[in-house]
Amino acid sequence: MRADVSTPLGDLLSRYTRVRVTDMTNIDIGLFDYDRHNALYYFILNADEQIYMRFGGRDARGPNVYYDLDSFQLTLQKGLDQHDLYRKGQLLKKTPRPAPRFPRDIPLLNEHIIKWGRCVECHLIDDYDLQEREKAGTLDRRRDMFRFPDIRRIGINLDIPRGLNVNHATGPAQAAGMLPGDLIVAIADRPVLTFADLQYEYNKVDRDAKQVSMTVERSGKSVPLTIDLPSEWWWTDLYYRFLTIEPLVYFENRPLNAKEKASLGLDPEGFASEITKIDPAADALGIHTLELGDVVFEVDGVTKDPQIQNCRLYMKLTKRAGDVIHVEVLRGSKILDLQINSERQFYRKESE
Amino acid sequence: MRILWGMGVAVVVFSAVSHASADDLTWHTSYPTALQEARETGKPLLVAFRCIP
Repeated sequence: MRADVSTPLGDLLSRYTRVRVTDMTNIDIGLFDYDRHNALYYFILNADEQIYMRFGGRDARGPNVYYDLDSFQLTLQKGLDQHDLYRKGQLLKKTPRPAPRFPRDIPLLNEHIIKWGRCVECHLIDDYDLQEREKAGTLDRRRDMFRFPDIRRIGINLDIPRGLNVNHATGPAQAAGMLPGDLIVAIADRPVLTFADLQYEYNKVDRDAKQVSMTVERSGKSVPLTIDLPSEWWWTDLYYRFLTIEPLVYFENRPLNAKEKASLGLDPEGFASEITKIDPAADALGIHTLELGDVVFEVDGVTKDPQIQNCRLYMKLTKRAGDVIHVEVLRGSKILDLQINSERQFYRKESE
Repeated sequence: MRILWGMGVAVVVFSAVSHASADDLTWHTSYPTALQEARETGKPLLVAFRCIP
């Protein structure tokens, strides 16, 4: 399908000034703030640099799941509608311009990439930024590593070609009263026009929050909903982010339930977890000697954390990439002291 | 099919050039230049960040 001006998509595009950015070096990343692990991402804004909306976003299923020509056309039309309101002085969503910030303001990015004339790729901005926060001791792993939580984890499943229309709701969203056909219009009292907007605002929810408010439109009426957030609601699969700060441990686990912990004489409130998968590289790289079925119940002397229910996640949240982690393991009837040499990854980056 | 549509968004949008008429669908590559044009024309801006993750 060609998008020349005679097509509906082309006609919509022709009403915009269009720019494609492939090098982030001189881009104001304070203004253009988004999940930089997207291969393609759009902003619609006016010449006063007030952002009307974002388009794009992804989850662990892949980079294209929320990309759809129908929803893109819908977004372009919404952008023009917002622009009309702006020109009439009726823009409801007034957003102050964020403080300017540039990739060169991230010292490690400057030192390893910009200084050498290398391309400032989007994902490098976040990666080096997080490394800076780790160095400064300001890293919040639940917020900074587990970023842009998946809305499906609280039961929101969108009818993607129709933007923020709900296809079906399950779990917490369903319990809160969300219905198929609802149109999500706000989260935490912040208006949203696209999935990218929703994902961006959802990411701002405090990781300690127990609830999140949303507003939907249903049969012409505005309906407020309060969605209970389950524990670890913010968890996402990090595999595609290749974050330097993420300690790689080369196994997956399943937290034991209360009955299982009791039968093994383990702390009922602990994060004891059974190893369910081992990456073949673990042995080759000398990462650990864990085996399938092992129960890891203690990590560096700690057996429980009030916020974390599984030991792998505990490691991700409390250890630095490259740390040597001592674990107590139940293998059959034996208790073993083992070691995990967590790894730091340098995907397409300079080693430090 | 959805994935094909999804991947097609970038291809369709950025290939909208060769059938250009006087009101063509070319894309600027400089944000400052595009911003200046938006100020002059009164049009909204569509900014695409195209990055390999």
